Amino acid sequence: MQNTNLELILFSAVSGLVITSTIGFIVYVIFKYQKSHLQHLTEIETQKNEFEKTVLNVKLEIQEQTSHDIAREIHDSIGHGLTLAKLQLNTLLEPPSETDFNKVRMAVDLLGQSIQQLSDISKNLNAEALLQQGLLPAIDEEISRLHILNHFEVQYEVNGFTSYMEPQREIVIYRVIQEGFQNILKHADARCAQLQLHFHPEYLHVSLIDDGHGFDPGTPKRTRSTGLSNMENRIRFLSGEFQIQSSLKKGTRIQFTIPYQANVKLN
Amino acid sequence: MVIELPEFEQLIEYATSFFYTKIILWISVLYTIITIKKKQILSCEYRPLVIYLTLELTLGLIDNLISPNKNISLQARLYFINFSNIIIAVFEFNFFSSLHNRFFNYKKNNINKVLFIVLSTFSTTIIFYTIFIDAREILRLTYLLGSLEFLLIIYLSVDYFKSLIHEMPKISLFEKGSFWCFLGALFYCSVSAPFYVVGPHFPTGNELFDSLLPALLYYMPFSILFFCLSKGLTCKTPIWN
Repeated sequence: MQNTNLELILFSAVSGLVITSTIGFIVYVIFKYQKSHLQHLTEIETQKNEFEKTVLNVKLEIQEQTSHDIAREIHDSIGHGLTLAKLQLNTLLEPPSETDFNKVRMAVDLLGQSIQQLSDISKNLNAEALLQQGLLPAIDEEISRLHILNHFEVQYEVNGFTSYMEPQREIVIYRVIQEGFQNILKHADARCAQLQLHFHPEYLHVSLIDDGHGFDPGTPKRTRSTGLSNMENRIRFLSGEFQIQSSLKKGTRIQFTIPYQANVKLN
Repeated sequence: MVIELPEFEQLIEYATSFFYTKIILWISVLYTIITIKKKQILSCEYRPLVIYLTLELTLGLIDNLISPNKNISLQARLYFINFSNIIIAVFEFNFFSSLHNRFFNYKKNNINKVLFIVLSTFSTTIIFYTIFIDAREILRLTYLLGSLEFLLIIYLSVDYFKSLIHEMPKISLFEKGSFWCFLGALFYCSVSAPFYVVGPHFPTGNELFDSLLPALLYYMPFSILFFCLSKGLTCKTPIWN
């Protein structure tokens, strides 16, 4: 009887040990494997993000390069030709009759306006040249242009101390603000727009608010204008955060935050 | 020779013994077969599994007719149990060995061959040897063969799990067909191996002990193995991936 009990205890102990070891081993393998799997997924996600950023970067570079080329062509070829034509008209040897004089005068004025418009377009396309003086003067110039158009009133406010940013970042910020104003101009039918730039120690916060007719925020992203998704993509490219708040007849608020340096993480 | 069938009550009593775990086992085997049928898995890679399941189901049903039948001598019944256990052990090992082989892209073909030859030789020897020995000895040898088979499958499973640690984990472990198969195998063999060691000492005379132990340490893990195989068959990846 005692022997049987001893055998039973021994058997239970061995069985328990074997079963516990097996379960322990299986749990260890599952834990280790799933940990590596998560790591692998994170790596894939990082690679995917890096790839998307590279693609976006290339796209932006191509866009800027194309704009730059067009601006140069306008300035060097068309602008140059028009200026020459204007000069030629100004230096007519024989004074024409009064009717012809008026026509020439009108032609000279038209040419002058066209040269000015082309110069503006050229400047606008060439962001690099525009930003040579810095982001804020470039925005000032953009706002001046909007004032001349006189479609809506623009209130502009800058807070905090300006910080150094890479030119590439400044170009992107400038383009996003420009795109925002273009959207207000084309779609919002607004009476007033408000642009605020807040320079924080590590990041820049921008908000652009209008009192236009807004849109339904429930609209799927793919059916919205490409302008909005372009803006969002550009901000994401700079590791920033982008937000749109809008409701019908209550205007739109676009906000984005961009760190001054690529490696800074936003709170 | 005409073998009289046991009475219905005897059949039911035998089937419901071990706390109904025998019925759970048959359900699990049937469930695996239905899973195979549903998924229409007919490629040759699944042949070892189909053979194993068919044998398990067929021999299990025959065993249910023979074992409770008092018209058949104990020696003959034990011969049958011994023979069917050996056949199932060989084909069970064959399935896991082929799965292991396929998982490692036949890189470990030689080891698998050696293990299979060892098991087959041992099985054949036992089949011939049992002709000359008495019933109690047959049972002891059957359990010995079972233990050997379990140890070999444990070796294959541990080898598989070891390789998982160094593998590039592209998909979640729970989506891998092979994981469920080897998980079931390792659990079943590890839990049942100690029971097989003490198997020849059964029945001990203690009724609860004699029913509970096989139910907990043999029939339940065996059912879990089949449920794991079914889960493996429904995974995104084939069972050898």
